Amino acid sequence: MAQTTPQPVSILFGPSESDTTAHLVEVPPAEFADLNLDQLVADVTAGRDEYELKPYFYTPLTTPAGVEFRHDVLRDLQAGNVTETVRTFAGAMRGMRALLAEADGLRYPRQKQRVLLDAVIRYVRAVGGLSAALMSAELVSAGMLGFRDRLDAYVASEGFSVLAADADQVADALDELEYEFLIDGGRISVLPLTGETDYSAAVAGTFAKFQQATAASKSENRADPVAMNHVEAGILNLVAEVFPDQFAALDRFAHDHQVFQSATIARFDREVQFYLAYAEYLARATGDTVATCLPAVTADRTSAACAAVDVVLAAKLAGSSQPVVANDFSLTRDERLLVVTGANQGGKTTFARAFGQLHYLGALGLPVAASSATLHLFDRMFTHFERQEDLQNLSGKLEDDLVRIHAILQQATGDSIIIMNEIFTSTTVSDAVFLGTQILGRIIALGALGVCVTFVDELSTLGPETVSMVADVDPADVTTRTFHLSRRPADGLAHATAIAARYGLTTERLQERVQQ
Amino acid sequence: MKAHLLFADADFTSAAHPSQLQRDIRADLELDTVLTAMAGGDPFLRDVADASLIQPLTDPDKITYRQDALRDALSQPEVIRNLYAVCVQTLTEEKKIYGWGLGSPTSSLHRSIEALEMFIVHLRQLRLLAAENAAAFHSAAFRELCRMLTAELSDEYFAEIDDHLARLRFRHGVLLSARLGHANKGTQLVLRRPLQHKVPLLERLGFAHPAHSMTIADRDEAGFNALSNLRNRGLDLVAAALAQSCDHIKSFFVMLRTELAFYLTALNLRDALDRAGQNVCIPVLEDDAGFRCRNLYDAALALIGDTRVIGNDINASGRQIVVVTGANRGGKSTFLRSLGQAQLLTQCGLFVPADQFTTGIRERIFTHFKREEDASMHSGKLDEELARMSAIVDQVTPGSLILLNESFASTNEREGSAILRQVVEAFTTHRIRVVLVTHLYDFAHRFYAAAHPDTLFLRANRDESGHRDFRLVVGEPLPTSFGEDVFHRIFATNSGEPVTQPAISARESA
Repeated sequence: MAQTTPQPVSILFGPSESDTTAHLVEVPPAEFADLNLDQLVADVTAGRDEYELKPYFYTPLTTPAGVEFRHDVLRDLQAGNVTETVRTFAGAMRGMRALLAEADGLRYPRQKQRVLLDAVIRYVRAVGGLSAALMSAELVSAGMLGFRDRLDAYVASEGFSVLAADADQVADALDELEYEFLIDGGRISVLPLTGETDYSAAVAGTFAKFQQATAASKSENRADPVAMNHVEAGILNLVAEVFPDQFAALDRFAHDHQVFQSATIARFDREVQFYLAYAEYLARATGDTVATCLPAVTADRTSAACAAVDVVLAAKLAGSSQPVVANDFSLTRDERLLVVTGANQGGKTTFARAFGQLHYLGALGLPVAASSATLHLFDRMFTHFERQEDLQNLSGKLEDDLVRIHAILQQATGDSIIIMNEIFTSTTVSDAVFLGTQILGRIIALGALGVCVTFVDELSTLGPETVSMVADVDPADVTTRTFHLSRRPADGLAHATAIAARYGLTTERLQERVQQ
Repeated sequence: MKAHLLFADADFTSAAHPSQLQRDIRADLELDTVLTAMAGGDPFLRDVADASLIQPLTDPDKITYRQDALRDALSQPEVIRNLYAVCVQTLTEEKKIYGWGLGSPTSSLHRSIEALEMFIVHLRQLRLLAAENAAAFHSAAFRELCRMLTAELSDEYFAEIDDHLARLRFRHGVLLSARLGHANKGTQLVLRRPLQHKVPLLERLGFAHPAHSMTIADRDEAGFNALSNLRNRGLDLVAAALAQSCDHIKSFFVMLRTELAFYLTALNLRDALDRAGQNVCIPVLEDDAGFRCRNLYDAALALIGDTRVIGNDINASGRQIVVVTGANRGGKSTFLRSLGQAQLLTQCGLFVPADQFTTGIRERIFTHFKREEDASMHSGKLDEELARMSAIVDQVTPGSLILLNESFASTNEREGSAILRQVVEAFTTHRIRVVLVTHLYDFAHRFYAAAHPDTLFLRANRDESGHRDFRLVVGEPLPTSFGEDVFHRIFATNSGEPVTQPAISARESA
């Protein structure tokens, strides 16, 4: 049936983002790999290729109102059992599409028609079930309310009712059929059921008394291809001769309902997967141990989070005994840059990634792995992570670093976010101090927010705009990294202390040992 | 169809696996020798014997049920052996028929029919044996077996099977019913009872219309293949039902063989002990904390047959604790083993190696015997003993029986005595029966001095000349184990010669 509605409603893009709808980004942003967001998207969309969800993840929102629109939809989905309802609906729709694909591959028309009929029944049940379940849901979001209106109108339409009634009637008639066939030599005859005894049961019955233990009967389910061979098709034709009315009805149905899906339903089916897929991923990654929240997303140049974790790392460690360490950060008032120093392997890169992921996912209007967060809505996000493959040519690497940073600074604005990880490791300390100071100075001048992971302590005290964070070590055993970062002045000694401790040469240990 | 020969209301399972403690009992009581005699060279009988000895009973009615059946078996050994032989023969032939894996439904069908025809022959044999011998049996178990075989395997029943065998030739085609499944594929295929004579379809249906039929063209090879597949799907159903039926019949024979095997192992053991010149008796159950016996002997020792086996006459009725002390190689361990064997065999519903044995039922039976093989590892030996004891303590329940043979002898006497005293006192306060052999004089003497009325003290006997007769007598612990006797034998000195060393040092050096 033809859909006369002009444009299907969206549950992903509110009125403020309507332009974006037409401009979904089709390729991953440059910063994706550095932040491990490529892994995240691959994980989130795994098994959901048919929905083509990736472009939604490549297209961050540009207005706080757009983010709020998605937050509202998310709250509706989380309320009651709406998510369960939608999941049931999506499962049925997937089943329906699988049937359509199967019908496509079949050769004999009576097979094709029957599978199409099944697909329609699946579709009708999916849509009807969704409509009935959403009727009682207390929806408040503009996105879901808009969709429900359209859905209700569609289900109430004459076209849909006729489709549903036809499908049931034709299917019921076919389901009731029972026939017999006699194979005698090369001849097959089909006839209606005569009611002769089930012989296998009779044989089994005769010998049942010998049974000792009740064991599950060995039923070999040999794979029987759906597609018929010409003998089966021949028998089906004989069955159609014996039951002409039922098969005529099937033929008519297939002709009348070749196209039956509504565009509104199809769009909802796709878009809602963006939320479901991410929610499943986040639940899997965070389990019971990591907090999640819907962040406040703001145009102001301020960012803060409590108990933030690298969600990709959390996903990787999920199910293992290794905990993911959560960190707090805050950039308020004049503060612009988190300068991270401290022990190697102490969680600095992980922290930088978590910072980037949080802002990016926040801009997608999604919940994040933190107990609470206020996140700056960026216009662009830039990352500069060390490139391992360039290590053999150190001078080339420094040059390459500077070229890349220059390009970033040219494109960045005061609303951008810049994340730099281990820059200038290929040069002397004094060079690194100089270059670092220069570049951070320019970022500060721009007013952009960011993180800078460095071994250069001096960069942490450039001015009121820089906030120093240090990767901690366990005070009881300095060789153990905690992966925890604290907001405190850089001490530069953490690593040296750790090595000394391994040989019992820390101040405390020396005191004890000398006294003995 | 059940043959409840071991339990009135349950199957016997021969697939039981012994726990570590049960393996200890088997080793400590020398049950391997007994099991070998019970098996009589048949590995299957050995498995059944093994399984039955690790599943002792605690319900007197259940034990009596087996004792009654055992009396029948002992008086009608040939009938039991014949019934068993039919089962073995059947299962051997069945194995030949199903020698090689699975094939097509038609070959599976043929094989099942072959097996079925073979089974029928042997089922008829079983019925014949049951009908001929029913009157000779008096026990509930064997009377019910005869009744069941006669009633279930009636002439009408064999006629019903013959009818199936005729129809299973499918001389007038394969009739199937189906419904329309996914994509209109034929589904829920049901094989309908094959026609015994050719009936024109139209006549059968009362139809005036032409039949809806098609014929596969002669050269359509794919068509014939497809048709044969379809036919096989139908035959599959009955082939599966028939194969399952054969499985059921086989499982019946397996079950019957297993149940009969138990009594066959008893016959084998009785015959072996008979050849060794020994008596057996069916024990008497009483509500007794202790036991009474006449000529209770070690069956394992008797079966090995190279030693004169001496039995003991002991009245330990009402005695919760029996402490055995006395001469080395004086028959103490032998007695302990014979008692353990008798108690275990009693609770398995079997006869015991004695002229007379009266005992009560014990919740569980445990053994804690000194392990000679560990002698070289002195440091770890006490640990090992304590660990074994700890494992027993984990499992023991009030009313159990524990047999201790020189427990805690791996440490010095004072320490060993102290440990043993604690253990034994703990057991007795929990109503656990203890029979123990010990060299720990410190323990034995203090225990004797405490004069528990429910304790019986036995001593390995020796006459004035120093000869032992391996018989235990009631008597208080003596401060020596007569190690000098052993010394004499080993060093081949004259038996009558006085020993120069004081007796006390023999103990200390032991």
